[in-house]
Amino acid sequence: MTTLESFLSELEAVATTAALRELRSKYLGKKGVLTEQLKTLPSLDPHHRAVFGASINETKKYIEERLKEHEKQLTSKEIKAKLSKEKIDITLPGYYKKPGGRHPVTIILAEITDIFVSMGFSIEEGPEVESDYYNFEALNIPQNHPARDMQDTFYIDSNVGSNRSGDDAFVLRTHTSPVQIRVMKNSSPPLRFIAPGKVYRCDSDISHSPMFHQIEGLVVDKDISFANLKGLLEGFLRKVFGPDVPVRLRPSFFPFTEPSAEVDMGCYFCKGSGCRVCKGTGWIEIMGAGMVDPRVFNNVGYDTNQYSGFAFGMGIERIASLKYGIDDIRLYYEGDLRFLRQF
Amino acid sequence: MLISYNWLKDYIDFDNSAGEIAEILTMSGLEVESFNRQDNGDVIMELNVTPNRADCLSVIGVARDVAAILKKTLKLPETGDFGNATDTGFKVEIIDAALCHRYCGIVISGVKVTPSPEWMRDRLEHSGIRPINNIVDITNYVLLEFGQPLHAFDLSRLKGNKIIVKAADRPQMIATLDGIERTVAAGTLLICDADGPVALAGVMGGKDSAVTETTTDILLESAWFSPASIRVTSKLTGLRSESSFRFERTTDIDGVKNAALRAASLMAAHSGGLISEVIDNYPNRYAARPIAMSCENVQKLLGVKIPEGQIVDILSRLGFTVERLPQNLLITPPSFRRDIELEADLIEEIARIYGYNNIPAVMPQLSLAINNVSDKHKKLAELRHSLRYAGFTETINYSFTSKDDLTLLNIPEGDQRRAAVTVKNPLQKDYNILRTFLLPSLLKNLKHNIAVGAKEVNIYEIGTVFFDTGDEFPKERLKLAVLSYSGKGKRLYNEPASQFYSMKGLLETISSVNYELRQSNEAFLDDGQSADICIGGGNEKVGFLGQVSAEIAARLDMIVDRPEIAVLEMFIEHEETKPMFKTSIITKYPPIERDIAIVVDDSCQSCDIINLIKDKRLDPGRLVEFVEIFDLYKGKNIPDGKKSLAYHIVYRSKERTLLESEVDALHAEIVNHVIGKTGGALRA
Repeated sequence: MTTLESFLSELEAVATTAALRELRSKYLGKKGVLTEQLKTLPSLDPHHRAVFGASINETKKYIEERLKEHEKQLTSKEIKAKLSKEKIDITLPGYYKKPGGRHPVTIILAEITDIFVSMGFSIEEGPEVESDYYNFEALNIPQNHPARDMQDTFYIDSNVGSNRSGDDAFVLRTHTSPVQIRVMKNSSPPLRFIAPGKVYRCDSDISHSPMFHQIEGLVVDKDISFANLKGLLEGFLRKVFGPDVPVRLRPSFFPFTEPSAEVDMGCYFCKGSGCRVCKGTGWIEIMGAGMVDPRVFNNVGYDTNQYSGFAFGMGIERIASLKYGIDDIRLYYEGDLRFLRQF
Repeated sequence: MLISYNWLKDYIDFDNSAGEIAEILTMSGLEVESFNRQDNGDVIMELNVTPNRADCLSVIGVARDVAAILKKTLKLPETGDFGNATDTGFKVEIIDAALCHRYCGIVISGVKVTPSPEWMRDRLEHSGIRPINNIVDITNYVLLEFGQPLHAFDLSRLKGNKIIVKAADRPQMIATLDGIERTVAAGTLLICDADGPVALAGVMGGKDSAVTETTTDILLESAWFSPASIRVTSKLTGLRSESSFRFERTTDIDGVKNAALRAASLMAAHSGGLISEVIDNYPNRYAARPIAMSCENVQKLLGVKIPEGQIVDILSRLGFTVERLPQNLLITPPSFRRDIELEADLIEEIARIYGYNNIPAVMPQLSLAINNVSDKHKKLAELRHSLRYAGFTETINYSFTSKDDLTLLNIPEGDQRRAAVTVKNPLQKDYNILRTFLLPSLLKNLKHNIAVGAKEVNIYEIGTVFFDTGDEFPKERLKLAVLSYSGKGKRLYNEPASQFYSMKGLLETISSVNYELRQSNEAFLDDGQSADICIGGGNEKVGFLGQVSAEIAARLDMIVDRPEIAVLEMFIEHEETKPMFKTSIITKYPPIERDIAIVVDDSCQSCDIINLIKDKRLDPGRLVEFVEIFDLYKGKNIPDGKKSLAYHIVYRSKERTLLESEVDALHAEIVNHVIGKTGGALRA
């Protein structure tokens, strides 16, 4: 058997990289077979020496190539074996913090804000504890007027604000409308803004909460008409509730708008055929609106001959309840994770 | 207000179904809130009459609107003419004419008090009024029909043959119809006889002068009282009646006598009484106020052109007098529409009869405006986003709380959080102040969630807090509060850090401000695991973070043993603005890294060692680029009361490649410095 033949048969039996290393040193090591053969060369005559030397080198080169090739195969086989031993259960959960829930009021507020900001409305704010003047008087809701019965009011104890100069009563604002007065008093027309925030009413049951959220909107400019109010609110409601939702305005009363309107949209649940939510009417009251009453413009010093405007206001919980089918307003304020984590 | 479909038909001839009438009413401003078919084929509708539409608190008032829309004639009931009634000598004297503009009294003699006819009792009952006897029922029937409240006195019980209308000059006693003795405040408008009060004007009659089964002669009262005066009486006495409800919304002063005559004629017909005298004392006459209106302004405000002829037609049908002037129209509202004062009020009348549905919807044409969302709102959105992905769920709680919550958390007297704003009329006792901090609300949320079985509660709230500073308006500030609770229980992966460090890490994640933490002495936090969050070099405290103390946790009365609750609360105004900044140069020279491990006293704080390492006096060339703690060890091989801290230091120059030898020299100097200052030793 030639050297090469015996190498090849031994190579076939090699199964590990360690055995391969041994085989390499047996043939190519310092005392390896081929090294020993090369050592015999000097004793040969020049003619044989050349032929034999070339043959040994060729064999050596060939063996080296085969060893390399075999090593590659073995290594990859061994890595595979190692990996398969360490195989993990990929169905175990990933390590991360599950995102928390968003509050539905925040979601709806953000959604509505985005729509109005896209139309160039700014966002304004006002205090939650308001004076009687801003919450009522300036909005044409005088003392001892039945319109005051429209909102059950929380009053602030008169001991609060001991350095107070006037005898104006203070209340927890019953609506976001006082922001209208604050903004108009501080800036000149034209203007357009929304005012989101918390409001308070002295009332509590399954559909009334002593605290809830509203968004107020106001547009004042030259040539603003009731038709514009209709156009804007229709566009807005269709953006929130879908492009086909029917919208209607019907006459109503707010002391700070004239004409005033209640805005209804087609019942979200029965699509107008009549159900419990819409009390069989097919319509759901969704917001109040109207043209700014000239008495309000007079209170803030706007020229009613030059400017007109409209205002609108809506309850956020009401919109959220309709969108998500929430039938108990108290769920918004209990902080129950079983509810909140759904959002 | 309840209104009967069949009753409406008394005044208008129409074929429209009850459903159609309901639609007409709703779409013209009288919203039908409920619709109930009766056994007798009638339909009772509940109307939501807005405070401005006092004229619609009657069947005829509602019929007038329906007739105007259907373009029908309104048929008013016969009232009778009693011109030749005799002088009975009864007198009506109005002393406070500012509060009582008109008082009409009709003397009816020889009545027989019996039950009223069935049709009348039916109509009253369907309108929510309990039938009593023919006399009282007729006053109520006419109240429903015309909206004019009436009152019948037993004439024999009125002393001195006279009525005096005057405001009480001192607190006075009166026994009202409901059998209650009441003391009314000075200024309350009273109906008196020669001896004293016999009725609370506009609110309720007196018990002593009430009509009974033995009454034979009556005085029928029909008057116009000042709305504000009646509202005050009603509020002060807590008495609300069908009468006061209408008076405080204002009644039709020109209809006062007509309604009285209508009632008198019904009484003559149903009780056998004789109309003896009609007294009409009207000292404060109603002056109609004409309003100028231009059709151009109607078009401008509504955004639709309505022809002048149609405008005139609508207003006329609603009872307005229209005069055409060269430039515009002069409109005089009827006496029952005192709510109409301005052109805009008239335009609403035109619009609601024209139909809101007939006005087009047109997007407003406005100039472009750059109204960027403010930094505050952007930051709030970012905060909510970060907190959400850190695993926290947003809650919103009522702004109300109680002093008990402050006491529960050991908030000392004199603390800013004690300067709470008190609500005068709270819904319940534990909601009587406004929140000065949010933590009590989150603890309630925690309690609720544990009670319903939650094992982990990670929540936050962003909300307004209120402080009474003595100024006119309370100080309102925005706060963030975070709560993290993790119940005992097995978990697949363990949290690598303690609650305190998780909460501190959260602060570092969500915040764009460099806060300094100082030892906190908040009485509700664990002494050893709490910190105040400060800004301005540690001078201004803006919040706290830490572990709720075991004492407080025990007080929360939760079903778990010693719950570990980490909390954070802080004002967030200073988070709102992000300063502009410029990037720093990324250096191309390589770093050289060294570690230091040192055993120090337990009381030694990590940041002190970092400050020593960064001491500029040792390192004038600022070669220490970065220092980071990578190990904290206590236990085996470390003496009691000591701990081992290990730091990783990166040395780098921005100008050149550092030599190993110079870093070794500097590092040795730093190590000596740290050991010298802390009294520590290198860890073996």
